Amino acid sequence: MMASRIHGPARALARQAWGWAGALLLTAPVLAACNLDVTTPSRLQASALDNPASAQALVDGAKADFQCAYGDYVVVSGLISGELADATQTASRWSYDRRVIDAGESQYSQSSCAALGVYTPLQTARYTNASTLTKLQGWTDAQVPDRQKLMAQTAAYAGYTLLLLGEGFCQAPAETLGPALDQAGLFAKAEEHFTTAIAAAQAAGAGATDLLNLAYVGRARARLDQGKNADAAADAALVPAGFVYTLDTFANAGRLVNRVFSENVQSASVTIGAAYRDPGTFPVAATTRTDSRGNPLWIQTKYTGLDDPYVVASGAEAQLILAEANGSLTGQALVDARQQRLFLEGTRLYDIQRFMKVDPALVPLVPPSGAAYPKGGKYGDLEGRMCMPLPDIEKQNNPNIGV
Amino acid sequence: MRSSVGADGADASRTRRAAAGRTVRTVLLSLAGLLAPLPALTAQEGVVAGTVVAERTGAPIPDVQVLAEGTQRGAASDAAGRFRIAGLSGDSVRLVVRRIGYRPLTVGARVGDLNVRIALVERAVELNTVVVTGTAGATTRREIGNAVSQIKASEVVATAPVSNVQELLNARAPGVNIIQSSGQAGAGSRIRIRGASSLSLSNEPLIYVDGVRVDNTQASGPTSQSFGSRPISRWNDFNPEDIESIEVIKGPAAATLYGTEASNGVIQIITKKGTAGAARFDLTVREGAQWFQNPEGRIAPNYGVVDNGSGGLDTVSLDIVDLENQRGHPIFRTGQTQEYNLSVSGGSPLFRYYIGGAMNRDEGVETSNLLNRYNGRVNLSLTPSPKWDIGANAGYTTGKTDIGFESGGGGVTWTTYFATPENLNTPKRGFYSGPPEAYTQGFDIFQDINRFTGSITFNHRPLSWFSHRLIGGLDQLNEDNQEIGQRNDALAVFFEELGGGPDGTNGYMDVSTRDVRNYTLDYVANAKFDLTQGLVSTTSFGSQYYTKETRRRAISGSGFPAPGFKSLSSLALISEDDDDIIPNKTLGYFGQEMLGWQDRLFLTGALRADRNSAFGKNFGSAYYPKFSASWIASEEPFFHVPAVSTLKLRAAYGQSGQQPVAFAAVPTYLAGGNGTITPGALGNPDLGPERSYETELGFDAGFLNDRAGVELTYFTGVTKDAILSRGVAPSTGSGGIPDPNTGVGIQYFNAGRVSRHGLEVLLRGQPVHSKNVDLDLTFNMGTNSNKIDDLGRNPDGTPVSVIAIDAYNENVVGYPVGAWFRKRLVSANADPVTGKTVFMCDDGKGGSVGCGSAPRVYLGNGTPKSEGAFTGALTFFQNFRLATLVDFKSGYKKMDGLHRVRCHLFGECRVNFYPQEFDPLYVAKVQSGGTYIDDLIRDASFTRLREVSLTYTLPPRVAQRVGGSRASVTVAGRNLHTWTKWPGIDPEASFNGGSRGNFAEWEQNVIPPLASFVTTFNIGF
Repeated sequence: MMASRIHGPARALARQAWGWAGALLLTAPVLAACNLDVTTPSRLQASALDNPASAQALVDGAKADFQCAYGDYVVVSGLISGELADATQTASRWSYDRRVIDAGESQYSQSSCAALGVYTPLQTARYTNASTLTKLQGWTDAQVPDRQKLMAQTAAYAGYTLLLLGEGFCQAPAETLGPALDQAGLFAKAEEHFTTAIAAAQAAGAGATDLLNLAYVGRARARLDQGKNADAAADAALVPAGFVYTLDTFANAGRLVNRVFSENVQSASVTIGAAYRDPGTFPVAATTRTDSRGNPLWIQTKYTGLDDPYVVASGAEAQLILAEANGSLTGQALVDARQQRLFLEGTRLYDIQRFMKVDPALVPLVPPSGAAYPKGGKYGDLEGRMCMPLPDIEKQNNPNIGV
Repeated sequence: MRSSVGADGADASRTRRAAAGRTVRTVLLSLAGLLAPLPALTAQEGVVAGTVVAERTGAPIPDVQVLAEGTQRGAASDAAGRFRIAGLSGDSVRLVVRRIGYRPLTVGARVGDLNVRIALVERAVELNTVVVTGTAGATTRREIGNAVSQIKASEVVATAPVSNVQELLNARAPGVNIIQSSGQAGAGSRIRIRGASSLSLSNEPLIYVDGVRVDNTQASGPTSQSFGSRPISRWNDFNPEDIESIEVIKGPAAATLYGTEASNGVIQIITKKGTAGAARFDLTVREGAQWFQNPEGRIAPNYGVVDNGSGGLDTVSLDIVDLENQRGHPIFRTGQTQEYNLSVSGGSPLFRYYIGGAMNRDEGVETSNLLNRYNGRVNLSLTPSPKWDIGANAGYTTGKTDIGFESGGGGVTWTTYFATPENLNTPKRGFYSGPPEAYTQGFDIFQDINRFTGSITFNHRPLSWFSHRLIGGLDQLNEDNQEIGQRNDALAVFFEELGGGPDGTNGYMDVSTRDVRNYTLDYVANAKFDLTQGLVSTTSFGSQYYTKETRRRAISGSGFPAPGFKSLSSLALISEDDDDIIPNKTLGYFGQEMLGWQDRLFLTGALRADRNSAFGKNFGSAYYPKFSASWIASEEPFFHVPAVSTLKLRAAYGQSGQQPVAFAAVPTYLAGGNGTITPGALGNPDLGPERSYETELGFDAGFLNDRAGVELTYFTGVTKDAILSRGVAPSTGSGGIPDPNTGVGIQYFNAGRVSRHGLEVLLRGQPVHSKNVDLDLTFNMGTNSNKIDDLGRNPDGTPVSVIAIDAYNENVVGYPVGAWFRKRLVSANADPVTGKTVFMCDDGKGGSVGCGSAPRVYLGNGTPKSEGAFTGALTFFQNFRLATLVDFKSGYKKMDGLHRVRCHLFGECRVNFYPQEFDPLYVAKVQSGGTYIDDLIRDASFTRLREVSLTYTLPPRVAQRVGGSRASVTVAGRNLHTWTKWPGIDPEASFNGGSRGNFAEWEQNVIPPLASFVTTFNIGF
């Protein structure tokens, strides 16, 4: 561009000013139309849900979080306890199967439930159910229809997440960024939530009978885990023998499918553990398909579809708790009965934990610790405790837990 | 504009000042008179005509001034390099030939000769070329205080074997690191400029096409690779044949005016424009072949135990490549490559055009791998008045890329590289999971794309001292990515695990679409004044508004009713996996003042302010200043240094930034499936951009009348308020579902600091120049080194020293970004008492400690500390040109993931069966099942014969016989030899993005970069 010859800097500046005024005049309408507001239909600011009108959405979401976490816990604890065995060609999930878990591995510590995580999905379900319960408690029956029933549900699910954290993990926080509680602490917190659920279900009346029984089974289990056998028996005795509490699953949502079926039958990522390949004892079957090592793929027949509901609690479980608590069923008979009747319901891992303290022969690890793992390394036993370590992701980012 | 090339400095300066007031008018009148369509070249009295070409490439050069010495007669060359001067007298004439960027030349010619061939030699250092990137308006190189690399794409593609933009960029600009990934046809690469500087965000540079910001995704496509890696780069949607030049600015000091998002550098693609003159058609045809070089020698044999038929077991090895060759069906084919380009350009001083079209068809070495791409471009320029002009540029790309699984995703590479003798006598024929045809027949994986990139540029010069420019543009991209596991009942009889669906054999289908819209609105105004004698002020103001919206949708399902169905509607079960919109907006302003003294000293100061929709609600605007100085010392009257013809000293300081990931600042809930919600990101209301500060010092020097040149740049800088991602404690409730945009269970915050420095050098020269032989040599090299200075504070106030990225890479204070960190096993001996093996690891302090409590120790840098290239071009007998490009990378380590899987996980190596032959420590590592892999993080330095080409430019009379004005034939090879100590398949084979291809490189069942030969025929009409 040609430079203008003018006389003196002052006049130059004056002309520049005119130029800039013209330029701004030209651009002002265009720039005024620009804004930085962005919206997206696939996200909602969390603050938008802090109102009673969102109660049902929060409760439904919390239920889905629990459903998702529960399925993963069944599969992961099944891999560790030997109910299932890994059948994949890639290594990321072998640690469950091998019973040697690195607390820093992302698959273990950070994976979502759709990716077969275990700790994070449980904590999410605990958080959403517990925080929704708190919100429901702050609202009124006039603001939220069926508030007592919703409270019973969220309290029961929160109780179950704490129960599974206690049974599956050596320690874990029971509240947002809370200190790590040991297993006894977690069971006590679970019991508190079940008690809240029972009170709410009773207040809700006849429409919440299933939730009431769910909470009784849950509290009985939490009490049994704490050694409160008489209290456990009292709760278990209240549950009808034919009671079954199920959680719906959904084939059209990858996060909410029946995880046992999808991992075992659909994707052949897990097969049935060697000690369970007995169709006469367990609901399992051999197939003509093969796993990653070319071995026949075994499938479970307990769940027959991606939308088959999970069994979370039942009168059968209550009867087993009652029998154990009152001493009518003991030793190997008790262990075997629980192993068969509660197959793939997420109880076997903690059974191994607690019965191995009584007599390791009651709950032999198959294959045993120290045996060669077919895909490299050796089987372990979670450092002799058969409980999962607190993931590093929690330890490193929770100021109330020291690394 | 400097025009008196070759004059001494004082004379040149006076000439420039005298010419300054007449520049616009003179140029326009000259164009009007000289660039009118030329009459047919026929022998005439008093006429000299011919063609001007670049000596180095033989390519025609437009806009060359050819003057008959001692007369007032002259002409300018058209797009085909043609010129014609009439009205001459006498028998001979001396032609003075000048063009910016080339050394002036005076040649003799016979009057009446209509086939004069003039070959111009590029200047080794040229300060008057126009630069558009990183500047307030188009300006000359002499005025700017930072380094800008320019790649003359049109010259490169004329002869070099490049088929995409990334190959065009590779090794041609110091400091620009092209990280190859897969050798599959259609696969892309990652680009890092001056190394990595961001700890958590993208390290990819911005890309502009004719001033419009475009999608720069380097890893897109179906999930045929694992760990978040995807094979296809969006950079390669643009046809190299349509590109005139590429400018690269490399850091914050130069990229300040681009503001937030520009700290990784900016790459500007400038497409070809029409030149006034007769219509010029250009046809380029490429035919070639590419192949997997030496698979027998690079794919290691695997071991296994087989039944010996006598009730016993034998350990045997299997060379699957050799075995399949013997069986008569090689695993990898030789792929045919085809490319056809046709363009026409021309016009008048009022209206100019460039129209181009191209078709590419590249076969990969896997039978399922095929790239089909079609490009079209129309660029129009209208100059109705000296006061204003309009340019409209539009490019369209469409095509389909069929690819195969690899990089942890399975596929032919997986089943081949991990082949096992245990499967020899099965339908798998020794392959690991099924023979190659099971994959090629069983799966259909592809990406369809449609992409439009268009811009309109309006230049207005209402006053002699004032001009302004408005660019409006759109980049619209539509990807359709599909992975189909076909229902194949016949195949399923033998390979059921290859299927999917509820019963394992009925097939599945994953469909994901990604639609991206980038809008650009860019206004810049300039005012230029002579404040006093010799002191020129240029004041600039600009504002830019960018919006980007990405829409992702994913649907998957399973269960085809019968073989042959491959549609969503035929599936038994369908689920929606993703439906997300990610918008982002930036509004920025800048002001700049540049003072020029005697056209040889330039001082520039600028300030940019940005707001961005991803900033936290507590964060306002980001401000980025810059200062630069450029001094053409060689034009000072006192400068008399023997042999130094040009010397420019430059210095620049500037800042730029990088915006946070969209929605990272906001606590959100996401859809959880089946009509439910679940917690998403935790958010951070204080989140702002990370800021990069850089100082750049350097010089450009020309020697021996600019026959040799040096460009040297040193840069040093820091990234402050670096955006770090920390894991979110799951007890917060966040992380139950991965937010597809912000990641799994992570929270972004500003805290870190990364420092970096490096050196870039470019040497060019023509050591041999004679009548029949010219030799041009170029060497470029860039080094970079970065170090993490700070990682913020823990909740208790203590400094954070380590942030783990994954199980293999960490950000650690005092070490490079994303370096390799892992426990290093130093001994594994049996305890004499218990008999158990005791594993001892490096304690990081020079000693050892039990591995259970051992720290992860530094094992190496993940990205090259230096890279560069040597280019040689030998022109002989005028019409022959032999060119080579040898590039290198060094100073980094890469994971030999192939060895990890074969030996540590699958137990297929000799060490797994004959451990006694190996070092016990190595055996212990192999037997750890992947726990101790420190020795697999290995030096991946290499030097590669990247390109070699021989071009023959046909004599004009031969070209004319086929109706052309110029024709050439090139035979070129690519990736023909590599020098490296890397023990894997290839030092460049790696994941393309994802968790195993972000900071570091990782090789695992990847097709290596292919060797190729291509023959190019080019003819201009």
